[in-house]
Amino acid sequence: MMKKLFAISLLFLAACSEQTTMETVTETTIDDRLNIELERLGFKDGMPELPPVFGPYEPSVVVDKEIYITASAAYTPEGTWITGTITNDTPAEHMLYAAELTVIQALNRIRLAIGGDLNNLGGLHNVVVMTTAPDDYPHVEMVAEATSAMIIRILGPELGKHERSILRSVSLPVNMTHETEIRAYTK
Amino acid sequence: MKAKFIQISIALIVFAITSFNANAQSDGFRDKETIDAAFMAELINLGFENGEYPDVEPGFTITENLIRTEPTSALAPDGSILQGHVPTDVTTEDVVHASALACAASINQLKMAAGGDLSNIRKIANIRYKTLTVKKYFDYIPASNSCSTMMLRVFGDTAGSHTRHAEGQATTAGNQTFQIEMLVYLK
Repeated sequence: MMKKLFAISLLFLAACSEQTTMETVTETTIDDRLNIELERLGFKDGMPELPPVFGPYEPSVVVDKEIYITASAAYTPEGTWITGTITNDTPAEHMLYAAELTVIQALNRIRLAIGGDLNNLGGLHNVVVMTTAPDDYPHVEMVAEATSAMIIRILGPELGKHERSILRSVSLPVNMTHETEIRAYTK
Repeated sequence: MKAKFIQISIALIVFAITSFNANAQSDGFRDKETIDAAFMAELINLGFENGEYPDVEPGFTITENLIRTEPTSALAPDGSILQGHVPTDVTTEDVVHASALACAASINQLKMAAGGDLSNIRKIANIRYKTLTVKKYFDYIPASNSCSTMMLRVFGDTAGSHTRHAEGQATTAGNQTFQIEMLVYLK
């Protein structure tokens, strides 16, 4: 019962947050909104440097206007990865935090792929939310909603609108808890 | 054994000579002979007779200049395909080898999509590695790197560098251990 109440409360807060975003997004820049999110998540010096990749591949590839990024895991302000498999006892806020960090990591990869400025972004095609949560984990939908809401809070409702899918993986490389992949295009 | 040694030696000599020529190209793309020699060396190393891939059905779609390969299996020279979960049924080393086989199979598909000429490939944009696995397994990097390095060996950095994603699957068609999908641009 308490879990359900908590989940409903988080959904309500996410909805309120989205409503607020819709009202204020035209008055602020992408960089302003990004910095608010970065500070909230504990990044004191703006966008962090990209961590090294785990093999002979690229964080991003741009072909014509199409942007591809490698699936992005949760990299903390302390410079560590959030790892560990999700179980039914994992608190929702742990997954939400991991999901929001993956959004930062994904947008950072996109930003660096297009000249270091998200204002060069033309739009998003789709977002893939990748989770290691078990089939009956009750908060997957909420985490996906939070992922979409954060993207829209940063990019705005027009630039940030996207299709979305949820992919359940048995596990992820290096035992990552959560990953996000965004397909986007430049102006 | 001696014949295989001679085949590999010839392929490596041709690859070395053509690689030297490729380095002189200004646009960074390798020419057809260089790519063919590199691919042939990979096929010989994997045990395909005379460095030739067997006839298979096309498994891709092309939209404008974007090739999407279907999930491509790790077909061995003897016609078998690795089956079972890692690590309970097969080992990480088995999956690394399966990745190389699936990678060669994918390059063969790209060759068909490119009209028989791999120098028509402009960019490997994204590779998705799919492994049949159990919950506690997350050692995906060796298998992913197995194919990622092959793509660079065959196509070089300009066309072959790519983004990627690896996931663990609970079930797969035919109980196949490993499959690869690619998004690739034609020139």
